[in-house]
Amino acid sequence: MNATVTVPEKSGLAGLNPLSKIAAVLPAMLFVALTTDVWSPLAIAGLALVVLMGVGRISPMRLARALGPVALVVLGFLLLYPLVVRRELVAGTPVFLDLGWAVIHEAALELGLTAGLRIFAFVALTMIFNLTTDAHDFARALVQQARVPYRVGYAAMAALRFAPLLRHELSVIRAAHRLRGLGEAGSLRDRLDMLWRTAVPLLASAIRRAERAALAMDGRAFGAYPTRTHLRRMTFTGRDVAFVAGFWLLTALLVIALAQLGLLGPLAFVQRV
Amino acid sequence: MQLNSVDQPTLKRAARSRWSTRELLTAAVLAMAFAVLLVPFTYLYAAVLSLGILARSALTGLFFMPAAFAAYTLRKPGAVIFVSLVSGLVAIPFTPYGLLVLGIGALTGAIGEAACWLVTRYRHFSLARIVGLSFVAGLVEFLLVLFSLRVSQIEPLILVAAIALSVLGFVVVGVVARLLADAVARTGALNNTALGRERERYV
Repeated sequence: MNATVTVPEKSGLAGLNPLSKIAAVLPAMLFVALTTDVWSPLAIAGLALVVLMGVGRISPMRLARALGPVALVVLGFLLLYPLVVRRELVAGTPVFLDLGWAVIHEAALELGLTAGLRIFAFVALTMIFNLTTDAHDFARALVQQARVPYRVGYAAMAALRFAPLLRHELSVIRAAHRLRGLGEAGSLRDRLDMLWRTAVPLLASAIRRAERAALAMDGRAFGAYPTRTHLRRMTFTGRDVAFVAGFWLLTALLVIALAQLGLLGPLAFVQRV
Repeated sequence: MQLNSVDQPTLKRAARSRWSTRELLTAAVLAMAFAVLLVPFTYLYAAVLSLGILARSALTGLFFMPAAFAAYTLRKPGAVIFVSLVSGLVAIPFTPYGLLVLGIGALTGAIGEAACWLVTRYRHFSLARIVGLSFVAGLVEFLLVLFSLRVSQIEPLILVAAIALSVLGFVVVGVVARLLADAVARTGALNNTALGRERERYV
């Protein structure tokens, strides 16, 4: 028997195999990890945003919500990284700000901006995967294309199904605590106590549910055969090849353009000083 | 069946490395439960990441919690890396970082697994061993991750403080995970795991 359900055709990035989205962004991520200048991460982040809005049809509002917290991280790096930078690295450059207890040099500011932008570019690249991929599809692709043992993949998928159950359980436990007059959180100690009192019953009930599910699965001969059939088939088609090749090409062109314009700084995993 | 011809140690070793459905599901759902408990902290983490390297170092250990818990309760080769990977996978939709969480999970898992093998050999889980395991994991994780944050640019004094904070964070989390596992074991939910079986022997 080889019955499969036809999955409704998804458009744009959502229709691609999750693994091809990861393969597409990996070289760009490696490049970002190696950069030491401001412009390269900025350009890569720009590429990711253009692909997300152009190919993925993600609305700018949704993008802003997803990347907002990370933009704050960049700001934080810009403000605080200069305070921990080694002084002899930046001592030769003009002073940007003298606070009395700390002097901020222009080079230190630039280093902070680069560190922050690198993280921003990383996250922008992963959004190509995140905003367009269902975690179940990812687990399916891992089993069907990446040859992960299906017992492992299906255990992970079963765990995903537990998410709403466990969140419900969490609210029930909290309600039970409030009923006994334990709900009001005050000091940090109270909060930690509460986290502990919530964690123990949540973990206990999660494990009991897992054992029941495992018995049910064993009862249906889960894992009895080395291979199995799949209800939903993940595919790896010409569209995936085109997307991966296209993204690699765009990344390469961007790197060449940066080098031609003289904006590309030295590349290094560990920066020599 | 040639079961009789297999000697006892071989059987024991086989039982240690083979995964039953129950163990697979227990590990995966443990990861999910920790994701539900820890997701608020990933937002906190996003906030403190901008507060600099020291705050970041102090919090990183939290993501070692599922790994330490799994190492102590399941005591199986592969448990640490499996639980870390699944907790990364299931956290993808809920965190501001997405796929990066899976990367961090893979890294923490691989380091934790190696440290677990090195320190405990999946057999000895005294408090001292848990401290040792967490210490090794914290140190290696710091060295690997922070190289990508351009360690060489940072003041040596602050760097040393960051290493100390990071390792301390891992050790505290490892000890808390052990206490938590013992507390959960007292409810009886862990009776079918290696930890539960060990406790039964002493009752």
